[in-house]
Amino acid sequence: MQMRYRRRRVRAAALTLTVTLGLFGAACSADDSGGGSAQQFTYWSMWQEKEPQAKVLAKALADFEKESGIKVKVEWQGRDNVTKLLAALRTDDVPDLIDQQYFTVSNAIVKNDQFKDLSDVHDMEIPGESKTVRQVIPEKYDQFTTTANGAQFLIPYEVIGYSIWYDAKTLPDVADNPPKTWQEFADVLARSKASGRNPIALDGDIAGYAEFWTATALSRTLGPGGFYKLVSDKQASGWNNPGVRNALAAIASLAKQKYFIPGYDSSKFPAIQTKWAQNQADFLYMGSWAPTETGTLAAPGFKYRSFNFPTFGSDESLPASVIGFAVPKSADHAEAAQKFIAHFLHKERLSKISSEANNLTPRSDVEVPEQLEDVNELLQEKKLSKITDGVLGDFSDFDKKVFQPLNLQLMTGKITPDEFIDQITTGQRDFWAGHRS
Amino acid sequence: MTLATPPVGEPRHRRGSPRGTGAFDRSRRRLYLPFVVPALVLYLAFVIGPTLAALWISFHRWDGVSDMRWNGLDNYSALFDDPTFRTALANTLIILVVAGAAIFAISFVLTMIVREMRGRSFIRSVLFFPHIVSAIVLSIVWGFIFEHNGTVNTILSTVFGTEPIPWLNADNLFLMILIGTVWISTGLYVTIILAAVDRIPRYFYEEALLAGANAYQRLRFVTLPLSWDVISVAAIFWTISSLKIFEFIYAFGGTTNDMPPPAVWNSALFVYGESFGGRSPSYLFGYASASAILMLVLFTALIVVLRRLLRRDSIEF
Repeated sequence: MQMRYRRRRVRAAALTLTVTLGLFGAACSADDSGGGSAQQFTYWSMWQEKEPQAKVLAKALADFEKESGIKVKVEWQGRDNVTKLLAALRTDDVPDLIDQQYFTVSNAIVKNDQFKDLSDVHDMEIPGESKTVRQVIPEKYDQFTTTANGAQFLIPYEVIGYSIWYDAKTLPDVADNPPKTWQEFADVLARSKASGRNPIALDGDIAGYAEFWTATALSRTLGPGGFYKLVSDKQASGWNNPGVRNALAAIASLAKQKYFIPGYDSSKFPAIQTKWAQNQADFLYMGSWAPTETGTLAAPGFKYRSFNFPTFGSDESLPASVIGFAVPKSADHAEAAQKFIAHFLHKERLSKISSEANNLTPRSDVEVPEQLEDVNELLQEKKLSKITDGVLGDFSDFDKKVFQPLNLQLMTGKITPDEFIDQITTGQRDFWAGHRS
Repeated sequence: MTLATPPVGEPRHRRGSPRGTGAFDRSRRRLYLPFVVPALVLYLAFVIGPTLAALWISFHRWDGVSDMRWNGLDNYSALFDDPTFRTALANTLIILVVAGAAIFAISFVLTMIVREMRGRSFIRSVLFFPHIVSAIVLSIVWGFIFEHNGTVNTILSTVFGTEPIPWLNADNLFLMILIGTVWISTGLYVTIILAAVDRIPRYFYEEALLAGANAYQRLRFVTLPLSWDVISVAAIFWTISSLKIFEFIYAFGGTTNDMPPPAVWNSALFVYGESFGGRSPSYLFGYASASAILMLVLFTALIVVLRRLLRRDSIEF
């Protein structure tokens, strides 16, 4: 009798478990976004809570809540916030505001028309400033933030300029007279090598960093948009151009002349850029985050200076990228999110991206940290071009599978420029021929 | 040496009465559904469902958000033309066969050595240790050990005065991944095989020794036949886990935001690389699903073949 009772109890427990699991599943699938009131919005940030940008944004969000009465639900998701957004777009739980580098946003939600056109934000007045957003965000950034049809998918709040960094304390001659053409740069490198130094630092395990060199050399040669056109050609016919060959030979010669610091092909990031900051190599081609990223490990008295990537002809644009806000098309509280965008672009708030997070902003009236003065000058004076000419964002699959591996071989002296041209021509044709998915 | 093998055709074990009619069996049958349903529901929802969904997605072009567009078998035919996929497939099979052979060879050797050692439970724990620690942590440690100025090169240059060896460059990276995989996995298989060997009564070994059998002969005529059922399960287990190796390659070959170079991708990394992976993901969900389905089919076939090859009548002792 007791046995039967116990068994019945076990059965009841098992059934309860089944029902509970079922209910749990149902609860998980229910909409927990808590939407409804227009006086709130959800923000999925690309920053993690301890990063300086997150601290600046958190302060601005708190001010915004106080001033506008709009509640903000913020999630510090980190760099894969856009990947998570992509999954969320098929549910009801879509954030109202996200931020990321322009190409990450365009790659995820622009081609498939999942973004909200933010052109209206340009006309919004920045609270506390008698200026509109358009008046403080120069048009030179539109190439990063608008689609071919002119729709605005991003409002930038941080700018990245890519330049060649060095320590002015160790290299005062370079500081006095930074090289402008590739030939001048090659002379500087040769002198560096001759004096027993390592001319260039490169963390070769990040294929994207190696790509900066070749992609910039090619877009300098062909002009902005030229490299993009070259790789989008299904016949891959442009690689035999003498200018292209010349640029590739220039990059290949860096490896041939052993200008890269030993171990650049077999270290783990950030080992090599740390060596650069400790004066074991002279130059580092990197985004404007370089001083922040290497600052704590830099040699005493290290004076961060940088110059524009040398020219191969007439193009002297500054390779750049922007980070900004975007609003998904299906966001419920887009208006509230847009209000915050305008709020954040106020000079006083945005300048903290510069003064506290040590990065550049799109507002030209914001003071920049000392170590970013050179790159900021380039930013203000030169035309801008997209880093890797936009190839990394728009042709990411090709870039990752065809261009980057061959480029690494070129930059480690495994193949000659001619072999590179042969292999990329075949690889590019095959890629586009098989690119049906 | 006489070994009792059950006559063919007869059940090896009798489990209760053939059609239980007693009160115990009836109530046990009543409990069957409540216990099976939760697991079945979860399994359907999280394993069978997604697998079927992946099969369906693999016939489409899909960026994860827009409507799927029917693509027939195009994704599959594109895979065979894709050198990166062919490399990933080859790498997966190399891991399966080469790393697998190394793991089992080393496991047998270690089993033979450890079996006769004192303090073997301690040694067993030490050998098992790499399997407990997260592969991500191990891959980071390996990065520090083998990089240009890492521990190994520092020791080599101090002791022998050699130039640093580029362990992690493009030529050596996959080999290092293979070695790392063997190192991480061997402990588990030593433990499994050792447990099987522990069941073998000592007198078989004593008799073999008296008969003058050397270590290889003891392995060939005593250990292998008497632990064959466990070894065949371990082989199947390795086949399945080799397909799923991901985090060691990802963390060892890549960096925070970047995938490892495509030359070292296996099929699991290929799926990730074509969907969410990298600084600027490809979002080719149809293509990635096709590769995953293809690997599932290939490995299912492999496992069926392997099971047939490894099938032996089990020996009772």
